[in-house]
Amino acid sequence: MPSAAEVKSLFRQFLRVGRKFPNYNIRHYIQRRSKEEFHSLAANADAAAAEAAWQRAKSQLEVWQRQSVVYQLYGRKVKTVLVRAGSGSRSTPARWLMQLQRHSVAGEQNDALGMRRQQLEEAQQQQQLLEEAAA
Amino acid sequence: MALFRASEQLLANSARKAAPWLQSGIQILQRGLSAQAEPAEDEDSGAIEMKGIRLRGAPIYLDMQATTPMDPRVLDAMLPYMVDQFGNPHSRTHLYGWESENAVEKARQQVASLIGADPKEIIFTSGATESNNMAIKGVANFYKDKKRHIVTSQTEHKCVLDSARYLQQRGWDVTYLPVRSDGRIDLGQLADALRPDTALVSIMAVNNEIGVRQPLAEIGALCRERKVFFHTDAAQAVGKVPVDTSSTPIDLMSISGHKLYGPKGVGALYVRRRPRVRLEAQMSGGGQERGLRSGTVPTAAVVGLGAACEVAAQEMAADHAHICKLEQRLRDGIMGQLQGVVLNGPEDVARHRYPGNVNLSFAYVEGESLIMGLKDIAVSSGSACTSASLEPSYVLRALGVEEDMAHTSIRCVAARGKCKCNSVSTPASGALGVEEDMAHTSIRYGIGRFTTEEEVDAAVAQTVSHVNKLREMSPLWEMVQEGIDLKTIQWSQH
Repeated sequence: MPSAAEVKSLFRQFLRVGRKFPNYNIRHYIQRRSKEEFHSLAANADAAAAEAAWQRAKSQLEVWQRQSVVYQLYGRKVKTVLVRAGSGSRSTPARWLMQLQRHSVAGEQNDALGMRRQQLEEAQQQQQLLEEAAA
Repeated sequence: MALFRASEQLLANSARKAAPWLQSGIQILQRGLSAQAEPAEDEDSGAIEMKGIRLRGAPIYLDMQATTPMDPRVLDAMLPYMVDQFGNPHSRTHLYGWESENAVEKARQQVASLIGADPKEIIFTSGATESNNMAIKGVANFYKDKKRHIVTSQTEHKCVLDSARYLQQRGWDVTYLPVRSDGRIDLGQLADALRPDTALVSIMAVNNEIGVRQPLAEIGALCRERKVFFHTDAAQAVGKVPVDTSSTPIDLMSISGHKLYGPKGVGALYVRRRPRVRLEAQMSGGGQERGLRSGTVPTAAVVGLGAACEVAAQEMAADHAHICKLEQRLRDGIMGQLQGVVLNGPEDVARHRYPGNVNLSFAYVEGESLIMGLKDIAVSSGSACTSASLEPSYVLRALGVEEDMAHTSIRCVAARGKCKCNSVSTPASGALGVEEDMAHTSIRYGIGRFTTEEEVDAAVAQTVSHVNKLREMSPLWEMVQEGIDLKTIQWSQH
């Protein structure tokens, strides 16, 4: 029967593996699921189930640690767009979308309609500034 | 030669530390010296260039019905059998064979316990397509002296429909049952379609395009009563919704490895033993897999399938809760910010639809332009096996989805996107009745175990922004905003 300190230490190891995993989706999956599992383990008072879950958790940790190495070796070099745009708690979808539009791809430079619209907007803004200056 | 290589390496290392302009120059020089093709991925600027499109990074994967990423736990189970434990499971004389055979039997047990079956009832195949072929052609050929009829539905997977057509060409009668507008079949129609010489009913458990769940228990009970075999293609259902062959009267069931976070190229067929279902083998050979499927069983792949089934059994409840939450977020996000969006399929995720499959139709937007604009999310329009063809999805057609004016083959000025479907050639009349294009503009979002809330939010944001951008450019949308009824417009022919 594991002690509370051992369980906490295992939980922290899971979170560490979760933080370091090279793949964005699996990283978040490990963090989310290990939190859920450890909290339900804490809430669950059944000794036999707790022992079984403890053993399973220890072998699972080794699996994640091994696979972390494999994904570092063979994972894609160019990461997903969310990682490149700087995902995290600070980046909201709106901000991410703005970043995307700012670093817009080369193809959009050929977008005549978009450029025309930009020109019209700029012209309107200049018009507004002139009106404000006149008023 | 080695000196040349070493000098190349030195050059590359110094280039990495030098200024970027110098680096690109040195790279060109390097490539001039070597016969290698130019790398498509440039690590420093981080852009991937493929098919004329530059991507900032790998897109967000939201196409879980096409395939799923392998769970690392599955990969971990498979790797030993691809490295040192490489034996053929049918070799009976040495350790390599024995350990492979043990692994295969353990995997069989894992698959069986997920679906409530006995291990002897599981046959490993190369995928759900092969399983479907085996089930339909196998049962039909075994009972061809006494039976002459097969029943299936219009929304089945292509392999089922094609197997039925194959049998039709050999003198069998096939009834393709229509579906209601939400995708479910009508049990009354099924009961009417069954004849004394019906051999098999094949209805898929969860549809891959719209996610509708068919009432397997009722269909199974009806078939058992009429002494007809019931086959279900459960490729999208196994591991995601509970399927239990011990309590549901299913006779044959197809399982696909790569739909439940397992490897591609492996699947299984469940063949009931009590009451016994007899099949004619489609693969002739050494009599492996109880004589029903000859060929060496691929140990690593099968171990992966077993591990995927075991993980799915443990994670099913948690996955379902997570996916339901994300589905709610996705649908509320898109339908809350856009008008003219229709969900294809039933709304009820508790009983009638698998939540991980969200198929939305966007009105007044051309499908190809929408998909090409959604560069940062990987989604599908229609299903992967039909997306290579230019026709709209037959599943959505079977649902009777309304097709949009933007698309009419009259080559009207409103078709901003490329109008590729020439299947309808008609006179210039707006009142076609059947409007062809909602089917084209449907997008299928697939949510899975590894999808995060951030990804769903990003998908919602990009979809909404792109649909608005396309609609702004569409004169049809302007007309709709002004309140003109599109059905009353007389299009002129050019």
